[in-house]
Order: sequence, then structure tokens, then C-alpha cells
Amino acid sequence: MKSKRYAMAIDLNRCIGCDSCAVACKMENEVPVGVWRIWVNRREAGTYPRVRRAVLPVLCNHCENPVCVYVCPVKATYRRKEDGVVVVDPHLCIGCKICMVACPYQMRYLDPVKRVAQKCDFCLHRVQAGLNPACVDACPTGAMYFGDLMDPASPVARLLSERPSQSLKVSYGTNPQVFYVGKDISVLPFEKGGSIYDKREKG
Amino acid sequence: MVKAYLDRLGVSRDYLLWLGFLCAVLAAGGVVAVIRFLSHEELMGATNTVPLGILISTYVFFVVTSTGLCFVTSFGHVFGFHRFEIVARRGVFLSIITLLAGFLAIGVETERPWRLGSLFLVSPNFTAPIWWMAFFYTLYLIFLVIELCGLFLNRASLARYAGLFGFLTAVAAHSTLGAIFGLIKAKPFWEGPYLPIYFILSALVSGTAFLIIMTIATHWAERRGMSLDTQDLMVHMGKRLLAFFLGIVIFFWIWKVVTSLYGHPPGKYEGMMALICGPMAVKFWVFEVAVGLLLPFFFLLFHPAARTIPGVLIAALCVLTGLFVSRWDLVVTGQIFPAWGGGYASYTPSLTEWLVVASSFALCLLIYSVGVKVLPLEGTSSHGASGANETTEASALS
Amino acid sequence: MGRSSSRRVHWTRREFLRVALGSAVGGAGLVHFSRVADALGMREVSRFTGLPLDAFPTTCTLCRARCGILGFLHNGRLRGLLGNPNDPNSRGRICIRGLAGINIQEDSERILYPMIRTGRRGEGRWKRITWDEALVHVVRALQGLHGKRGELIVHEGQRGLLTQELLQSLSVGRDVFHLDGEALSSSELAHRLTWGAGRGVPDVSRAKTILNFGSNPYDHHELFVPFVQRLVEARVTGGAKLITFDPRLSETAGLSDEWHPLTPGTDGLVALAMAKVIVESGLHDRAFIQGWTNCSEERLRQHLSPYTLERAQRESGIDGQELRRIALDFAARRPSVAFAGDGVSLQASGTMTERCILLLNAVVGNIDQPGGYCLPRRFPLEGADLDAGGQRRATRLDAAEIFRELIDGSRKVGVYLSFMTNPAHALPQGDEVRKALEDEGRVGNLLVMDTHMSETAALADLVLPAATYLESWGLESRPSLEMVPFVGLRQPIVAPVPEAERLKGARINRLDKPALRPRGEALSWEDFLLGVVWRLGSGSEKVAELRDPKAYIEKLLERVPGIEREGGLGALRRKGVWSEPGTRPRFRSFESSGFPTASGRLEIVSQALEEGGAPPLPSYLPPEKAAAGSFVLIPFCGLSSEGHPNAKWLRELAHENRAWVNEATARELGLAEGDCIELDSRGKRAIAKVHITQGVHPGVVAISRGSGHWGYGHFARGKPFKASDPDSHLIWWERHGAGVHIEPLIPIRLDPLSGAQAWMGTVVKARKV
Repeated sequence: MKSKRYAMAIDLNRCIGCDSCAVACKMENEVPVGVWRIWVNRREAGTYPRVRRAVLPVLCNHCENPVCVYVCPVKATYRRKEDGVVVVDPHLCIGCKICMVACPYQMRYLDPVKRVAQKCDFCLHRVQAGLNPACVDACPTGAMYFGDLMDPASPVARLLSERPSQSLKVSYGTNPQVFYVGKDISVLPFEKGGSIYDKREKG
Repeated sequence: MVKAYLDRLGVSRDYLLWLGFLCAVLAAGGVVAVIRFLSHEELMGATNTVPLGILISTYVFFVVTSTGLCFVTSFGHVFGFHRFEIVARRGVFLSIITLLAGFLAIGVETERPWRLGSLFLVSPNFTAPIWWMAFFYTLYLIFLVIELCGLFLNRASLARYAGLFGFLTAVAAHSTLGAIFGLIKAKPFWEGPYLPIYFILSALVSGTAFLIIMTIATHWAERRGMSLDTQDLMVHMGKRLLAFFLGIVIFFWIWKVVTSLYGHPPGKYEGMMALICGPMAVKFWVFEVAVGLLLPFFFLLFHPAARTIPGVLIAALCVLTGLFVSRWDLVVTGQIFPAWGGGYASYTPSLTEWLVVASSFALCLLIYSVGVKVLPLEGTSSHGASGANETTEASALS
Repeated sequence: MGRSSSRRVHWTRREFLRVALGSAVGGAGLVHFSRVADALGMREVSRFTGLPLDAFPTTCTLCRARCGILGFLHNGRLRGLLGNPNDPNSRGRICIRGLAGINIQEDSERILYPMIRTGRRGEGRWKRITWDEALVHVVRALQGLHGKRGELIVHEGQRGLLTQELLQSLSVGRDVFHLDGEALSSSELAHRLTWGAGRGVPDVSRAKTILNFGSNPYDHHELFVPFVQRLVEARVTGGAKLITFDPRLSETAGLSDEWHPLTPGTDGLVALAMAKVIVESGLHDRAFIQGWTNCSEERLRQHLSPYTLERAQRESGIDGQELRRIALDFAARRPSVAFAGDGVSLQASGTMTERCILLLNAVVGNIDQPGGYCLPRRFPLEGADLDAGGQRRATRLDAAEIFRELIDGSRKVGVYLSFMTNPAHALPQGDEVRKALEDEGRVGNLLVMDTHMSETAALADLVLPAATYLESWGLESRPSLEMVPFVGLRQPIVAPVPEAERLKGARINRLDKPALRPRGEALSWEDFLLGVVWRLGSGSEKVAELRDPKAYIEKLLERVPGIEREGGLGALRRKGVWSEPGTRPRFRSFESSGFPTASGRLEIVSQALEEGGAPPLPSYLPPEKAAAGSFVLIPFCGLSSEGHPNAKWLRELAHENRAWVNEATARELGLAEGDCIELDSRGKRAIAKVHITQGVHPGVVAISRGSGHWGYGHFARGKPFKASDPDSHLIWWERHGAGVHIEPLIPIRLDPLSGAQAWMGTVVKARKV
């Protein structure tokens, strides 16, 4: 069977920064309070009265060159050959947390209850049944597209063939499979400055 | 009657109090470790932004010291610098113990350490530096034990070859430890070929300093004088070796700072700024640089007291303190510059973590204190004329 | 939301068999519902087995949008909520607050049984009682009102299905006031006066130029998901331009094509100035004005003449030439539409300002046009003909008005019955409201029906457990964004309590057997009121006959032509939503039947206003000016105020409310990020942490409402606690605090035309502390 390559594309012109994706994921995967698998970064830019806001939903990029997979000493996290989804097997994880450090996007967290490393798995249980991940289906404006890049009819393949896209932190060489269309993310103010609207964290 | 028995063993009341204290600390650490694994409470200070905390830096501290001790003792019976043979047994023994103390620290740091053994064997990942480090350190431990046996049994060639392989696996393991950090591109402060090399150098500093401290402290605690050879060696190790290694490390640090700041390389720049003028600045300048590098370096080179045992001891203590903080700086600075900007993250060790750190030290000192009484650490087992103990009652210059 | 491993499930043999044999077999109720899953297709699978989960359509009531949703069950537990693809408005999508509804359903801090207080009001000492005892208490309280004036106040936070009819029954022999927490009185009045119908629907999906006055549809809206979907679609695929006027960089303003911060309260002036530009440029729709409004072009021109661009620039702060450009765009780049939100309708001049914006729409003739401002299309479901008997009806009022009288002692209330409202926290002068409620002299009986121990419930004499929207019945017809009316059903995914049935003496139809156990003894509002009416024995037989809300819904469906043909309530229960198939939107409805006003035309000139002594045409009523050194307070609704206060995922994202201060202002006041500021409104003080931003007018301090809870539960208060839900001790925002309660700063001040509370426009002093 031909292997798939699941990927996601987010249209930043459609994203309203409402965090519905973040909460849908929490609901779908019973993610504990304090950690998130997907969230929205927000920044304000400009000086009064010429001020704009930028929003950027971020999630695990399911990289083709995943450093988190390379550094795990017990292969608890691996990239599935059949569809390219990077998953964590909680039964193998020893909790050394090196994968959390190795991810350039800081998408991995330590499950405070199960005490193993966890992250987005593209809602594999839904995807294998032919559905989209929960965040994609919950998004009120339909800003998220998901599908098999190898299938030219899939929503994500169609979108990426029509619009130019970018990925995050490409210089790290991880070859991420989450793409952004609609806005030039390299000029969005997400590397510096701060805002109280970021994913809240205990730390 | 008890007193007589104790006297026969050469054990004093003070000694028992010392052991009792160490056991108490170790027990405290054990209790919090157990609670940490069983309770739902978040007892560790590490967060999702800074997941590696003081327990990792303590682990690094101990295994660096262990490796360094292996290097220093190898000078003697492996590489033929005979004057080091006096400290060979003590050094190798300490090498083993510090490794175990490091394992304790990292065992508590890992969320599920009871899976370590089986999973490392059953599901190894050969691209993971952690796996290789564990592999090499296991071999290293085995070689160390063999080497120690060889030294005790006066089997010089066994000791020599075990020592040689121990040395080689130490180099492999230790540089792999550096690579755990150095291969993570996501943390630019660490990334690069520098860390594996720096760790080897730092091991030399750490091992030398630790051996000096333990040798002098043991003699002081037992109220024995040091043999002239030992004294000479201590001073030599201090003035020559330690100062020399410190010099190299200072040289490395200068270039590390310059290359991280020159031209504002992204990530490296912010990390280095965090270290030299950001949240880590006090720890860096006061402990790591002043106390840990510059003070002992210049003292050992120029001050007349550096020829004395107390002087060397103080210098070594400064170095080791600075090194402990240096590990903390290394581990934490790499992580506090977050992926999405927004200012530095922060990390404060929790009480649990401090207790585990203390119990790692306690474990190390406890095993050593018992080992000093039980094992023949004083002798040398070289192939030289001086095969016997030489504890002359030269005045202990203390 | 508990984890299945940590919840002990008590199996009765019947339940075990039902679950064990799977959804296809088992109780008759599940046979009925499993067809639901087929009709909707597979929308969710179990995380553990990968097998499809049953989907139950219902309606979310967490905001006015009333989106159709699906609830998914797994092993008898509510597993998740997603949108209902059959809903023509939300089209299968759901928002963050709707998703967090699952937090409320499974919340361990829900009130589960009736309680009566044993100490003083607010002391927190309760005794559990049965529903029989509770109803006796309520009935006795109501019977005690017989003959006295103005004595029963029913305050609904969420519009009930049967409330109007039941209140009519209750109003036999007593005065009943109905406070509707979901009313947007100023906006409603403005629209009724102007075109005779309710709030309009901007047809944004076809628009090219969209002006937004004080609304924040990217965060919330009375038709949130349906509206923002189409707004974004228009911008992305249709090239529509969104221009926002708001003193604060709201979520919408931050992502609009243009943001124009203006001095608070000057929206009307801006709209009129733009209308003047359009009329003077000759770009107005002459035919529409002459043919369909009751204002001649000459009179309009004359009326608009004082609203110059210079005046607009001077008072609002927006550059006159910019306004001119926008006005010309609005007129030329069509279709275009202007709409207003809370920022406008919650001003003291809200009614009048909304009329100004309606005028702007009328001037370009976009009324009920594709891409313009359209009349609401919905089925009229208010009040089935139940012949409740008696001519008296319950009087509808704004809560603030009643409470002002309660506070100053000019009114005494015999029975105050609250359903899912929280006046002790949420009303302006909230601290004084609380004192009034605590005073038995002013409020004889305080009865609260809620899902949680809100700040108001904590003061009550009797606390009753309310069923959530997932446990009760309802029927909604919200204005359609597709311009084709539809009806949406709310049905219990979780069962009505058998207790409820027993109280009303009804027989339980086997087909209605519940899929899930309800939480505790919670009862729906309708069932409770029916029980009260039945016991009182007042009102008509028809009302007393009404055994359950479901029968009432069947009656209401008689107003939905065509549904019977398609299967009636049964079909609706399977699909959740129904609209007449094949219907196409019909615009310009006024051409066939005129506007539903007295004159049949769009009433730019309002006789009612003139008779009332107000300006008959839409005019600008200048706001109270803030003196130098003072600021206008904007208490906006944000995520920390929207949604249920104890929904853990919402609180995790937004738990504190910081005061937004402009950076230049902050420098003057000597403030840095995270510093504290004291806001003083006529002696009432509150201290808030500061958020320094470029996105707020320098003369404004903006802070969100609905924060600083001391009731509801631990998530609302931000205090970790021990419960079976592991998330309860993972609350990490304790050190950030739960925000500051700013409602006391806002005086009760009404729009003189509509009687609605003017939340906007309070002037405060601010200093660093």
C-alpha cells in the first residue's frame, strides 16, 4: 500500500485567533490542564494608532527530519512509515525529557499525570477512521486544512498547490509538515517581544 | 567493649556521627524521591520550557568528575607517569563512587527510571546520544571495577589494561555526554562541536580538583600526615596541572564568549547574553568565573601559598564550587531562551530537587567514608620499588 | 471532566446489559438514537477502540448564537461536543466556549440537589431538601404575594422555552417583572423604531465594504460562529474590506484591514458625518430614500448638515480626510454594510447611535439587499397560543433599572427568582446589588436556580439545581445568515430527571428513555416552572395540562410550515436542525409587503421618539467628557468574561483581567508592565494589574468584565483543590489571581430611551499603586 504523508496547512487569513483548536484538542485527547498540544501565539505590532495584531496557531509539525525522534534513547517516539505522523508510545517513554529539549518548536510536554512525554499526534484515532483531527473540524472559520500530501485531491494538497506556503523555523533543518499560507510568517513578530496572550504556562 | 571494637577498627565517635549524618541526608533524599514518583503533586522545579534542571546539572557534575578522576589516575599506571600512582586507588574508587552518585541524581530526574534497564536493552536507538552515553558509561563502570580490583590485587597489567579501556570508554562516554547537548540544534547555546571537547577539558579540571580535595580531606580527617610523595603530588597537581587545565578552560571560555557575541549569531547571542548580563549573570560572574576560574588560576600561578597543602585545598574547593554552578549555568542557560521569544524563562529548583542533590553528595561521601576504612586505598600497586605503603609521619602541614 | 479510570461507575444490571450489548440493541431509547448517528454520518470515534460514537444533535446555549451541536457518547459518558453539520448557520463548526461546555456538564462543583439555607443569607450554611419540599417553599412564597404590588421578579440569564406563558399564569393576581438577561434592549429598540423588526443581519458573505462600529465578531457575537465564518470568507475569497471603529484594539480590530480608534461615544457622529459626505457627493440611493423611507431627501440633507468632517475629527479624533475616503468607499464599493456591537449599544446613547448607523445603511440603500443590512429571517416562535388566561402580561425590564430601585430602597420585592443569572457579581454597582439582595427587608425571598454556586446563589434562601442545556429541551430559530429561516432543536442528551416526570404526574414514554444518567437531581427551568404552576393551580388549564416541554415544542412547531411534511419533531430530533428544503433567499422583502412599521416605510423620522421628547431623526448625543487626568472606562467582554466562569479550559486561557493602558499614558503615570493601577469611579475603587499596549486610545482604560470571582468554583477562583478530576489540582494560575471585580465601579445609568444599562462611558480616575 502506498505510504501517505499527512500534513496540515493553516490559512492565516482565515485564522481569527479564537483558540477553538486549542480547546477542541484538549477535549478530544483529554489533555490535562497546564499543557497544550496546539495553541495560538498572539502579538501586537505597531505604534498607536497604526497597530495590528498577528495570530499564529502552532502545533507539532510532524517533521520529516524529527530531531525528537533521533534523540530518544529508547525509540519511544518515532515517525510512522505508513503516514509520516510522529507519535509517542507512552509505554516506552522513560521520561528523560530530552525530546522536549530537542524540539525547536517546544511542542512537547510532560504529561503531569502520566509522567511521560506527549504531543500532538494529528488525532490519529480520528484520522485512521477517515476524519480530520479535532482542531481542523472545530475551527469556526475553516482555517485549517489536513490531508495526505501524496493525494492531490486532499484539501491540503490542493491548497498548497494553489498558494505559496511557508513553515516555521526552517533553518533548523527539521522539514516541518505544517504549512502556513496567507501571510508571510517571516515578518510576523513572533521571535521577539511578549504578550499576555501567549499560551499560559506554569513556568 | 563497643569502644574497644571501634578502636580496633580505627573508628571514632566523630566518624560514626559523620556516617549518621550522611545516612540521614541520604534517607531524606530517598524519601522525597519516593514521594516524587508516587504523588500527583508537582515536586520538581522543572517546567515544560526548562525541563532539565539541577538534577541534570548535578548528574553532569558527578560524571564529569568521575571521568576526570579516571583521566588523572590513568596518568599513573596507564600512561606511565609514576608519581600519580600514589593516588591511583583512591582516584579509581572515587571515580566509581561519583559515577554512582550521578546515577542517583539522574535516576530521580527521569520520570520512569525503572524502565531504563530493560528498555535500553530491548529498544535501543542508535542515533540517540543518551543511549550511547549509557552504553559507554556502563562499559566504563565495568572497566573501572576491574581496574580497581587489579590495583587492589596488585595485578599491574590487569589494572593497566582495564585502566586504558576505562580511559577510552571514558573519553567516548564523556564526549557523548557533551554531544547530548551539542547535537540539539534547537538550543543554539549548546549546539556545536564545542561541548563534547569542552567536557573532556572540564573533566580534567574537575577530576584534578576533586582528587586533591578528597586526598587532603581524608588525611586531615584521619589526622594522619601525608607522605612526602603525596604532598609533592598534591602541590604538583595543584600548581601545575590544575592551573594548566584552568588556563585552557579560560582560553576556551574567552573564545566561546567571543564567537557567541560577534556578529549577533541568532540564538547563541541571546543565550550568551543571558549568561553574561541576563538572569544567569550573578551565577556566572561570581561563581563560575571568579570563584571557579580566575581566583584559583591566578592564586595557583602566583601566590606563594599555592605551594602549601591548605592553599591547594582552598583552590581546589573554589574550583569545584565554581564547577557545580557552571554545570547549572550550562544546563539552564541553554533552555531559558524560549522558542517563541517573549523574554527569558526562569527556573528555580524545588526543595525536592535540592534534597536529591544533597543526597547524591551524601551517597558519594558515605560510600567513600566506609570505603576508606574497609578498602586498602592508601597503597600503591605500581611496578616500582615502592610497592608498600609509605605513610611516614612527616608533619602534616595543616 | 473526569477520567474514566478515576470515576466509579455504578452499574445496574439494566445499564450493564445496555452498554454491553452495544448501541444497536438494548433499550428502546437507544434504538431510536442510533438512527441519529446514521443520519449525521460518522463524526467522532473513540480514542480507545476506534469505533464510531453515537452523535446526538442539540443546541448550545452558551451564547445567543445558539449553534447546532452534536454530543458524543462513549460508554454512557459525554465524550465530546462538535458542531452539527446540518445547521445552516454554523455549518458544522463550534466555538471555544461551546467546546468548553463539556467542562460544565461534568463539573464536580455543580449543584446537584435543592438546598435551603440554615444560617443568614450568604453565611454558606445549607441543608439539603427534596424537590417536593423545595416546591412547597416556592409556592408558599408566591402565594404570600397575592395582592401586593410589583412583587415577583423573574430574572432569566438564558431565555426559557415556556417562560412567557408560565409568567402569564403566574401574573394572575400579582405583578410580575421579567428581566431578560439576553436582551439587547437599546439595539432592539433602535431597530424596532426604525424598521419595525428586530436586530438586523449584515449579509457579510456578499459584501465588499464592511464597517464595524464597536463590535468584536472575531471574539464573540450574537451569531458568532455563523457570522465570523462568513465575514472571513468574504474577506478571503470575496476581497471584502473590513474597517473597524473601536477605541480598543479588539481581536477584530487587530485583524481588520483598517482600525480607527475613536473617542468613546462618538460613533454616532462618525456615522452621521459619513452619511453627510455620501449625500453631498450624490452617491446616496435616492430611489430608496424617496421611495421607502419616511424622510425626504431635503430634510435628510438639512438634518445632516451640522455633522461636518471637521466636527467629527475634532470630537472623535479620526482624521477628516480618512473619514471622507471611507465614506466614499462605503458608497461606491458595493455591496457595503455597516453594523454595530456592544461598544455602541451599551452606551448611554446606544439607541440613538444604532439609529445613526442604520441611517448610514439606509443612505446607501443596502437595506435588505444582498451584501447589505438585512431583516432577520426566522420563524416566530415566541409564545404558542396557550391562552394563559388573564390579560396581564409580565412586564419586561432591564435588570439594572429594577436594581437601582432596590438599591435606593424605593422598591421592595417579595420574591426574586433567578435562573442562571448572577446579579450580585455581574451587574453594575455589583457591591450594592449584593447588599440589596442580602437584605431580607428589600428582597423577601431570594430563590436561585443555577448549575453552580454563583455569588448570587450563595446569598439565596433556596438554591435549586438547574439542568444544563445538554439536559433540557428547547426550540430556537435564530436569524439566518443564509437568509432562509430555520429551526433548531435542543434535546436532552442527558435525561430529564425521573423526578421531574413524577412531579408533573406524567408518564414516561419508552421512546424517550434517556441515553445517559443526569447529574444529580438537576431539573430544567421549564420543568421547574411547570411544577410551580401546577401546584399553584393558577393559570389556564392548557398550561396546567402541559406535561413537558416536548409537548410544547410540538405546539410551537405548528408555526414552522412544512416541517410536519418532513417528519415533524421526529425528523427534527434526528437532524437537530430543519429548514424548508429548496428555499432560496428572497431579498428586498419590503417591496412586497413594506416594512413592518406604522407607516410601512423605514422610519428615519420616528414619531414615537418625537412624542417622547427625543430627537426624531438619528442624531448625535455627545457623551460625558472625561476631564483632564481622567479616563473613560471600557468594560469589554473578553474570554475572561465570556463562557461559563467555571469552565476549566477557558479559565486556563483567561483568568485575570488586566487594565489596558496606552503606552504613552503609562509613561505619564509611571507604569511598567505588571504594575498595579487603582481605578476610582466616584469613590468606588478597584486595583488591577496593568497591560501596557499600543492598542488602546490614550484617554481610555479598558478592562474586561466578569472577572474576580469568589463564587462558582475553584476553576473560577483559580485555587487548586482535591476532586476526582486530576485537573483540579493542576490549577496553576493561582499566583496570577482570578482577576479583579470591576462591576462595582460602573454606576447604574440607563439609556433614557430604552432603559438599558449604559456600561460604556464611565469616567474614572487612575493612579499607580
